[in-house]
Amino acid sequence: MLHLLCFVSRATRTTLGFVVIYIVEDDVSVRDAIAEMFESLDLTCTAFADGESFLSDASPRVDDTVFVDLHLPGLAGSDLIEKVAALDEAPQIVAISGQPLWKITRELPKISSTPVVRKPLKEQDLLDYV
Amino acid sequence: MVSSSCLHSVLDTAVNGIIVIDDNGTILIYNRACENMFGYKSAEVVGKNVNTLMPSAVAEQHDQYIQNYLKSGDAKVVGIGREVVGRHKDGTEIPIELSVGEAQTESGHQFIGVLKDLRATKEYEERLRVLQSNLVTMTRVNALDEMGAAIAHEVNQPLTALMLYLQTAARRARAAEQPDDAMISLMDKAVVEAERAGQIIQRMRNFVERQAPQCIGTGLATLIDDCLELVRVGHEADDVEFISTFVDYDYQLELDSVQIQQILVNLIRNAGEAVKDQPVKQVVVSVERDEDNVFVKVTDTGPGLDEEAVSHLFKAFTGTKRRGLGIGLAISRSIAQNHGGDLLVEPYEEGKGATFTLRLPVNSKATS
Repeated sequence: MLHLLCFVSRATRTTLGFVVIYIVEDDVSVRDAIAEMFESLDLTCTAFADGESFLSDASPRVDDTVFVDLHLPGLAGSDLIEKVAALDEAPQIVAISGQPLWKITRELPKISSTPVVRKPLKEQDLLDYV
Repeated sequence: MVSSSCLHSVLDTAVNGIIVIDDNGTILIYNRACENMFGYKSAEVVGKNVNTLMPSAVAEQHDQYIQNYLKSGDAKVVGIGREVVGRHKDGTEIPIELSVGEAQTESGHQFIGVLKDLRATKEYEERLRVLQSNLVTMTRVNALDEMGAAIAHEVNQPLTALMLYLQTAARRARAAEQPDDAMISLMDKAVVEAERAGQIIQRMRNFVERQAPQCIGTGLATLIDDCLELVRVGHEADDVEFISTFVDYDYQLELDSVQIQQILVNLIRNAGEAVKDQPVKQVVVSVERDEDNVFVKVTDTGPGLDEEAVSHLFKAFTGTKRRGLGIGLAISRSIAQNHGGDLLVEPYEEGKGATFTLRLPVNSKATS
């Protein structure tokens, strides 16, 4: 079965549940709203409240997508991104931020190649990446 | 009896201008300080009417003033002194503090004027006034910025959740077996409104983000001196000593001087408050440098800040002062960070006052 997947488009695999979307976001409502949104589209989605629990419980793979809020308690969003990007077969990472631009810019050296989506956001802003 | 040469040497040594005229207004004595003040040499004006040294409006009236006084004895300036305006040889007007005395001599009634040049004082006052008004404006603008940014950030979260919930609900409503068109239309309208709220927040944020620091080369030592001067004005009554140990007047730094001034004035003013009731009342500003950063330290001889106090220090709306919002330090820190630096407080040490450290990168550039 596995080798067949190679001929199926990534989008199809996404809806089949082989690809996981991870959310690391400390705000309860935002986290829940994002998860509800992906689930309503039949996408597999796992949410975490902080970077530490993500690192200990999640095992993202190369086709997965991880949305990381830059403003997290404990391990900073940018540090988490740095760690995840350094994994073998690193997943696609997207940063989310509600912070003013200069605070985001300060984090940029660490997260250089990561796209940043700014809050407030619409579903299309996130769907562009899955 | 004082010799004439001794008298002249006294006149020429005096810091203030001294002019003696007769009752016709003719200049008899005009000392060296006057030469510097008015630009005329003594030889050019002695024997001329003193109104040569006045702007034309006053000059026309001056002879009459003397006659009025001589007739009525009604003094307008004699024995009183006042601020008057003189005229330099090049035509510019000079603010002068003038006191006038009189003497009856063998050669008639004479008037002695002592003149203090107020140009430097006026310039200084004007400079201080501009500094102060810039600072007040900046403080207001920054307080608004900080509020705007805080609101934008706080509202962003629920707004994001709201938008995603609404869009998800609208999609679910559409996908239902028997779609309720009225419901779908309402959901779509709600999404549009949430979007509108989002745009308002974005516009607010863009407005705040446009105001990047205006960084220009600034002499750090002068900037610190200015800040101390601004704070001293409010502390004339209590004998707090404000000192800067940084005297490298050639040292230049790229920064937004008004914004950095705002931070330092804020820190120095706080320090001044902290030492007011202490036996030793001293606030010292010092500077340390390494390869990448400049550290401006403000140290006081106050009671110091314990851990509990430090934990609230940089949060908005937690001030301990009766007046003010307690956003001074929060704003100061944002400004420092906006410059790519930071504002820190040194750890508490028993028996020592508080030290705040403003770190600025040597090539301080706005990060936005």
